[in-house]
Amino acid sequence: MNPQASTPKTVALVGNPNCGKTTLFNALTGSRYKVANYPGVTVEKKEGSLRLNDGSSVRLLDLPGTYALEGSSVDEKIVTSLLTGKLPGTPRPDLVVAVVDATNLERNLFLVSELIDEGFPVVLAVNMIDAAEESGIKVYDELLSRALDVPALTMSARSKRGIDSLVEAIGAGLSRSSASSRRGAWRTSESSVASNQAAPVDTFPAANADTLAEIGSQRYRWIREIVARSTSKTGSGAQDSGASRLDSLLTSRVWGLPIMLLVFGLMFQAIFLWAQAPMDLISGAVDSVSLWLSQSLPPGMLSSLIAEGIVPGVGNVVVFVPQIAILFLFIGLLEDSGYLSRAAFLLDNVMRRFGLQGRAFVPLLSSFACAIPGILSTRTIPSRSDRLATIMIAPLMSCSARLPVYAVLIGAFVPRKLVWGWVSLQGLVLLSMYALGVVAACGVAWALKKTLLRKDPSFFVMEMPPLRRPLPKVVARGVVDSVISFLKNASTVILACSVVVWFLASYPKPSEGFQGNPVQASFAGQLGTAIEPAIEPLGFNWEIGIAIISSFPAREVFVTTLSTIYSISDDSGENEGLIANLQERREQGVFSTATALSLMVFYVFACMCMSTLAVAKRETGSWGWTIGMFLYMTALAYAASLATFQAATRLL
Amino acid sequence: MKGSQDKLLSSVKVGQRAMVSALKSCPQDLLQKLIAMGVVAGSEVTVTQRGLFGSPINIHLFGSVLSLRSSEAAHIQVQPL
Repeated sequence: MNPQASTPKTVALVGNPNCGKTTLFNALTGSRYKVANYPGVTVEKKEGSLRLNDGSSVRLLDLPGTYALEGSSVDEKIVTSLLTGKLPGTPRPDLVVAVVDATNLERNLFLVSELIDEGFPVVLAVNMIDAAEESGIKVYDELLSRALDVPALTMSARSKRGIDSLVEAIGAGLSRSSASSRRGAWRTSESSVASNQAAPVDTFPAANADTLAEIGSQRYRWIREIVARSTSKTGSGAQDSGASRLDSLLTSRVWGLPIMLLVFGLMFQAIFLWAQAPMDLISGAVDSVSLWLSQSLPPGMLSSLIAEGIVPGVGNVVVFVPQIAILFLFIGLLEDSGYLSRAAFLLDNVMRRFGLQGRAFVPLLSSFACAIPGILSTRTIPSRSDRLATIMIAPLMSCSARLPVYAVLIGAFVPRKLVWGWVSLQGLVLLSMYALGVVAACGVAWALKKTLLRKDPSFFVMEMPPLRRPLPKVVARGVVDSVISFLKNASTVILACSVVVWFLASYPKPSEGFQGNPVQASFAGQLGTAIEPAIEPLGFNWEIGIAIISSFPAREVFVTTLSTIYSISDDSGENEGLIANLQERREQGVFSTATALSLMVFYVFACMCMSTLAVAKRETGSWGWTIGMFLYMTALAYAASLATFQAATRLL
Repeated sequence: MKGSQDKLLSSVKVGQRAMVSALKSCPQDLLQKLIAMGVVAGSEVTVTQRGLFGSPINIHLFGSVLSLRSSEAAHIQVQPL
C-alpha cells in the first residue's frame, strides 16, 4: 500500500536451469553477472535492486536453477528453503517471478504448477519468446494466464523485449499479494509439498512411489492440455539442424573422445605457446623496474625490502597473468557454448568406474582454474556420496596457483624444443603434471567409494543445454574477473608473504666472518636447515624447504619465496630472473632436474591452500572430511615426491 | 501391466520414438528427479544418442535433451511408437 514503507519487499526469480533467469536478472537490475550454459551455474545467492514504476525499490533475488520443489541437490534444497522462509537471514519472498523457457514450456511449467499449488504469489515470465517464435511456436500469454490463474507475459531478456511490462506486473503483483489465500490451480491432497518440506526428503514414505509417479503423470497431463490450448505451432518446430548435427558429432562414439582430447590438448598447448610473448614482456618490465630501483634507491633496509623483497616477489607472480587469462578463456568458451555438458556425457561411463559421475566433470574441470569454484559447483550433484567424493578429489586437479610453480620449474629445467615437429616439450611436461593429478584423483575416488562412501546410492540424470555460440561479453567477463582476483591476491596475500619471507630471510644478519650463503644464517635459513633431513630424500635442500613451508597458505608463494631468497643470497648485485637463477644453481649442481621433477610432483599433490580447506569445511560441514583431505594429500605428496626423486636420480 | 510390446528404455535403439508407460521400482531420489524432468507415464521420448559402451543415453523430450545412464533407463518402461 505504501511504497515508501521501511523495509523493501523481496522478489525472487525462480526457474529451471538455462531458462535465461540470470540474463533477466541482469536486465532488471542493470548489474552484470555470469550466465553460462551448464545447468546450475548460479550457485550463489545473487541479490540486486529493482526500481518499480512508482519509484520504489524492491530486493530482487536470483535463485539457483531448480526443476522441482522437492529436488535433492543442494541447490534445489536452497531454493525450497528460501521460498518457504526457512533460510536464515533471508525473508520469505513477497512475490515469486517464475521464469520459463518458451521453447520448452511443458517441462518448465512443472515447477510453476508446484509454486502455484503451494500458494506462492506468482508472476509468470515466459522468456526466450524470440527463440520460440523463430522455431514457429506462438505463445498466447492471456490464455496461459487464464488457464493458470496467474499474471503471465511473454518476453525476451536477451533482446530486452517485454521487460517494462514485466516490471509493471511485478509492481501490481506486489500490491496484490499481501492478503492472498488463493486456491491452487491444480492440486491433489497428496501433492502438497509443504507438508513434506519440514522433514528431510529421505523420510518420504517409500510406499508412496506409485502414488508419486501417478501424481507426476497427472500433473504433466494437465500441463500438456494447458500448453496445447495456449500455444500454436507452425512448421516442424525442429531444432536447428546444424547445431544438432554438430551435437551428434561431438557426442559420437567414434569422434567424441578424440575431439575432446584435441580440445583439451589445444588448451594446454596454448597456455604455454600463446602466453610466451606477453610473459616475456611482463618479466622484462619487472626486471627493469627492479634494476632501476636498486640503482636509484639509496642502499639500506627499505631499498633492500623493495628491490629484494617486494618487486621480485610480486613481480614473479604477476608474470603468470597471461597464462591464467588463457586458461579462463578456454574454460569460459567451453562452458558458455554448452560443450562441457557434452564432455560430461562422454565421460560418465569412465567416471562411473571410479565411483564418480559425468556431472562431477564440471566441478573437476573448474578446479583446474581454482578448487574453490570447483567445490562450490558440486552443489549441483544430487547424490551426497558422489558430491563428497568429488569434493575430496577436486584439490588434486592442478589449479592456476600451481601454474606459476610448474611454469618456473619447467621454464628452468625443461628444454624449449619441439617433439614430433609441433608439440612443445614444455607443454607436454605441463600436461603430464595435470594428468598425474587426474590419475591420482581417480584412484582416490575409487578408494573412497569402496570404503567410506560404500553405501550411498548415486544416479546420473542431466539436462543437456543446447549448443550455442558463446557470448564474447560473458567469456571476456570471466577472464577479466579471474585476472583481477588473481592480481588482488598478488597485491595482498602474496605481498604480505613476500615481506614476511624477506624479513625472515634477511635477519638476523650473519656474524662477521660468516662464510657462505647469508640466508642460511637467518631465521628462515635455520628453519629450512632444521627440516632438511626430512625432505632430503625428496631431493630438496633447505632453500626449497623454506619455500615449501611458506607456501602452505597459498601455493604461488613458493615462487615469491624462492625469488626473494635467491635475490637476497645473490651477492653479484645483478638482478636476474628466477629462471636464470635456477639454471645457475643447476650448473652449480645444487638444483638438479630430478629435484625439479620431484618438486613439481610434490605440488601436484600437496594440499597447500587455506581457502580450499575453508571451503571444504563449509561444504562438507565436517572437520573429519576437511582434516582427512589435508592429511591424505600431504601424505600422497611426500610419497609420490620421494618415489619421483629416487627414480629420477637413477634414470636421468 | 500393459501388452507384450512394452520394453525398457535402456533397450530402445537410437532414433526410435517411444511413449513412457511406467516407472518401475525407482529409488526415491531418482523417481523425483525423473518426474521433475518430465519422464512420466504419457510422455513421448526419442532416443538421440548412446555413449561408447551403451551408457549414458540421451533422450529428447519436450524441448530438451536429457542424459541418463542405461542403469537408470532400465527403470523406465516404454511403448515404442
